Amino acid sequence: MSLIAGIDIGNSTTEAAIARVTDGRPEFLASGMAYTQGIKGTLDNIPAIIDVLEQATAKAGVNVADLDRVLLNEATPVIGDVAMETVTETVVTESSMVGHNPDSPGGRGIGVGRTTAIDALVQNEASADDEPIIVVVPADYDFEIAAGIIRRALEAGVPIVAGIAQKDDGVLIVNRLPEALPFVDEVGRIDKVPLGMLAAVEVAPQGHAVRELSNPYGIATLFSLTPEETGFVIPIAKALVGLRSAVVVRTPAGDVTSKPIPAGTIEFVGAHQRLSVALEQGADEIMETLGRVAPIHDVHGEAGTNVGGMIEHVRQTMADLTEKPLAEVFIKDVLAVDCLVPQKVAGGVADEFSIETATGLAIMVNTDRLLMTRIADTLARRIDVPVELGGIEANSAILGALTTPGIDYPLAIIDGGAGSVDGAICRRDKPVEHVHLAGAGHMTTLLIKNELGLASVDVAEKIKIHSLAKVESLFHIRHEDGGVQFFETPLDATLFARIVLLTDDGLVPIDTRHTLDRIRGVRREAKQRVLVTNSLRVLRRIAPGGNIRLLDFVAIVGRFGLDFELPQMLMTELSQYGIVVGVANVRGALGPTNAVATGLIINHGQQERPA
Amino acid sequence: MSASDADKPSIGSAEAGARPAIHVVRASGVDDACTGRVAIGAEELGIPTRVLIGEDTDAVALAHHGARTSRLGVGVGLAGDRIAIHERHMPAEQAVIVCDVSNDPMGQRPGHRRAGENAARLVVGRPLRLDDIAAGNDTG
Amino acid sequence: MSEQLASPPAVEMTLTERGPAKTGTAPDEVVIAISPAFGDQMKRKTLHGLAHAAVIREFCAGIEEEQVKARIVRVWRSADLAAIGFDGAKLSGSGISVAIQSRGTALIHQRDLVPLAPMELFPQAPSLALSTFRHIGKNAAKYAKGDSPSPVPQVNDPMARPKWQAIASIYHIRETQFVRQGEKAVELDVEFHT
Repeated sequence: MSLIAGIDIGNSTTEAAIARVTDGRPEFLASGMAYTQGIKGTLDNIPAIIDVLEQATAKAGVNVADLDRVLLNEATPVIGDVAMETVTETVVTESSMVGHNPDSPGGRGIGVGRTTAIDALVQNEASADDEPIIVVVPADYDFEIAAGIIRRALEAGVPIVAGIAQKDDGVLIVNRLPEALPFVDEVGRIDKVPLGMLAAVEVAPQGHAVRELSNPYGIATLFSLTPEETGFVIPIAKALVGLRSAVVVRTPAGDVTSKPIPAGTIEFVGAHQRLSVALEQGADEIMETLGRVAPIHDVHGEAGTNVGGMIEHVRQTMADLTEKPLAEVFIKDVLAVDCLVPQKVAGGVADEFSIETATGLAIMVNTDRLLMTRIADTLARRIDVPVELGGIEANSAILGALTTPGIDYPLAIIDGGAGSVDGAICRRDKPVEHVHLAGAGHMTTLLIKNELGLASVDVAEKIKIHSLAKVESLFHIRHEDGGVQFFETPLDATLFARIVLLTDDGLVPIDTRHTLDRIRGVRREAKQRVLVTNSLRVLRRIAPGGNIRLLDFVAIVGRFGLDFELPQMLMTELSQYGIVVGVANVRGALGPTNAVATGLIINHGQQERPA
Repeated sequence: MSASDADKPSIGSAEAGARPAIHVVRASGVDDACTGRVAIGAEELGIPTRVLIGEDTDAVALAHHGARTSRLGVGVGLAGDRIAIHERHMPAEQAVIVCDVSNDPMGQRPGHRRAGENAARLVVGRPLRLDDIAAGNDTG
Repeated sequence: MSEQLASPPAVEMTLTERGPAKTGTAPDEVVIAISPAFGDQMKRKTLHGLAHAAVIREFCAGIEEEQVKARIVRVWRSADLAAIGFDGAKLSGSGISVAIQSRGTALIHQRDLVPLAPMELFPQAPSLALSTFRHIGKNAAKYAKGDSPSPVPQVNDPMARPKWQAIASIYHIRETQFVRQGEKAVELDVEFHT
C-alpha cells in the first residue's frame, strides 16, 4: 500500500489528486485546485504545486511528508501566445467629418450650408442674402444666449439650416428656436471644425440612424459631387453607418482614406514545402496555406513587419523561458482569426471610431521534457518526497476521463485550456494518439477585447466567463435569455440601466456603449471561431481517416467543460456527426476537472499491479 | 402635503389627467433659479418637469413626495444645500441619489442641471451620470 | 375519482378586510381588483357557473407562476369594470392590475392608460374558462415584468350576446346595488377552502 499524489500543471490551474494505492488499485481520498503561477513548465509553478498538495493532503487527513510518491504530468508543455494586428486603417488628413452618437442631438432632418461661427451672427456679419448657414456653437456660449442669437438671426431672415454644438445642449437650443433645426452636440474638438466650408448636418429620428450621410450617393447628392469625387467619400459614408447624428464637411484638401496596412507575410515551413501568405489576405487564406504545408516544422514572419514582430516575439519569449538558443525554438501551429475592431479615427473631431479589419494569431511552441524534469527535481528537494514524471499527459487525461460513468473505448477527449486545445484518442489495444493546437482561452479573450474595443483584458476575461443582464429598473434585471429577476432591496444607482455581468461577487457593470445583444454576440462568436473551430480541428486530426463520424465517445475535459455555454455549443456543432459527446464527470463526482491528476494515479496503479 | 395625500389613489383628481412630468419639489426659500436649472437638465433629454412647493425641509422627503405624485414615478427634492432624486418604488427614507450642492457655482449651477439630467435618465432608462455624486444608499 | 381531481380544489374562499388599500411600492406586484359584490355576495359564481373562488385562485396561480406577487383589493366606489381596473392599476406597485366583476367579465389595466382603454379586455364572460383566467393572470404578471406577451386568445361566440345579454344585465344591476359611493378601496386577505 502506498500514498500517491497526482499533479497536473495546466496553463491556468494546477490540480491534485491523492489516493491510497493497494495492489495497484487506487482509493481516491481527496482533490485540490489552485491557480497556476507563471507560464506552464517554469519554476514559477512550484508555489501553486505545493499549495494544492497541502490543500489535498489536509482534506485527506495526511501530511505532505506522508506521501510515498508525487506524480507530475509529463507535458511536453505547449506554450502559446496571441497577438493581433489591424490590417486596415482609416485616416482623416484634414477634419472633414464628425460622426458620433451623442445621447441627445437636437431637432431632426438634414441641413446643408456653410459652417459659420456663432460669433459672426453676433457681429451681424451674416445676412438674409447669404447662402445657407450651419452655425457652430462653442462651449462658452450658454444655450439660452446661443438660442437667442440664432432666433434673432432667423427672424432677421438669415438662412440658418443646422447647427453644431460643443456642449450637451442640442435639444435645449433647438427647443428655443422657432423651428426644429438638426443640431449635433457634444462635439468635443469643435475648434477642429473648419469654418466657411460647405457642410451637411443630419440628425435621424429617435431609434433611427442617419440615412443620407451614410450613403455615398446621399453625400454626392447633397454636395453635387462628380462620380470621381463620390469615390472619395465612401470611407466617410462607411464610418457613419449606424450613427444617429453626423456632420460631413467638404474641405478642399480634406480627405478620408481607408487603406491597407502592409502587415507582412507568414512563411510556413513543412516537411515537403515552404509557402508564404500575406497577413492582409485574411484568416481563411492563412489557414488554407497552413493546411497545404502541414505537418509544420516551423513558422517565420517577414522581418521588419508587424507579423514578423509578432512571431519572433513568441519565439524569443520561449527561448528565454526554456533557456534554449533561438534557433532551436520551433513553432508548431498557428490559428488565424479575422475580426472587426473599432479603431479611433486618426484626425477625428468627436472621437469617431471606424470599424477596421484585423487578424489575430495564436502561436504555439512545443517545448521539451527537460522543463518538467527541472520542476520535478526542484519539487522533490522542496518537499522531500520522490517526484516522478508519470507518463504522457494525453494518456493520463484519457484514463481520468474513463472514470466518467457511462463512457467506454474508443474514447476521444477534447482538453481545452488557456493556450491550446489538446485532443487524444484511445482505442483498445492501440497506443494513445494526441495532438496540440494553437488558440484557446487567451485567444478568445483577445478577440472579445478587440471586437468590443475594451480597454482591459480583465474585462474581456470577465465577459468571457459570465452571463449578461441588463438592469431595467432599480428593482429588476433582464437576463440575456430574456428572463426577469426582481430584487427586494433597490439596486445600487450606479448599476441603473447598465449592462452587468452575473459574477460570484454580484452584479458587475461593464463600462460600454454596446448593447447586451452585441456583447453576447461577440462573446459567442469568439468562442465559436476559436474554441469550437479548434475542437473540430483537433477531432479531425485524431479521428480515423480524419472522419469525425468514426469516433464513438467524445468527452470534454478541463476548462472547456466548465464554461457556461461552450459545452452546449460544442454538442450542437457535433450533433450532426452522430457521436456521443458530453462533459466528462471524472470519478463520477468532479465534473471535467482533475482528469489528468486522476489518470496519473490510475496509470501508476496499472504498472504496479501484479500481473 | 402629507403622507395620506400621497397614498390616495387620486382618481379624478388633477393628477390623474395631468401631463406626465418629473415632479421637482422645493422647500420654501429655495431659489426659482435652482428648480429652473433642474428643469433644464431634464429638458435636454426631452422630459418635462413640474415644479411644486413642499412644506417639508428635507430634500429626501420632498423628492419622495414628488416621485409618488409624478406619473413618471420620479421626483426631485430641493431643500437647503441638498438635492435628492427619488423613485416611486424606493423606500421613503432611501433616495436614489442625494447630493450636496452647497458648492454648486451660481449662474450655471451644473450640479442642479446634473440632478435634472439624472432624474430624466431614470425615466428614459439610461445609465446615471454619477462621477462626482454619492449614491443615496450611502447616506441611507 | 378522476373527475374530482380535474375539478378545481378551491370552490370556496374567505375574504377578510385588512383596512384601506395602500399604493404598492413593490415593482413586482399585480393587483387583483374585484367588484363590490364579488366573492361573498350574490351567487359567488360567474354568469356561467364558475366559482368566484376558483377564478381568483387561477388569477393568483397565473401571477405566481411568473414569480410576481398578487395583492387583492376590493373597489367599492364603482361596479364598472374599467373603473375597478383603473383603480387597481393606480394601487399596484407595478402599475398593472387585473380586474373582475361578479358576472365574470375581466380585464388587464395599466396605470398610465386612460381608464376606458385597458390593455386587454375580456368582455364575454361565458366564453372564459378557468384556464383563460390563469392565462390572464400570467399575462398581467408578464406586463409587470416589462415583457410583451401575446394577448390571451379569446373565443368569439356570436351566440353569446343574445343568449346571455339579459342575464348579464341583471347581474350587473344587482352588483351596482352593492356600490358604496365615496368609499376607499380595501385590502383583502384570501383563504381558499374546498
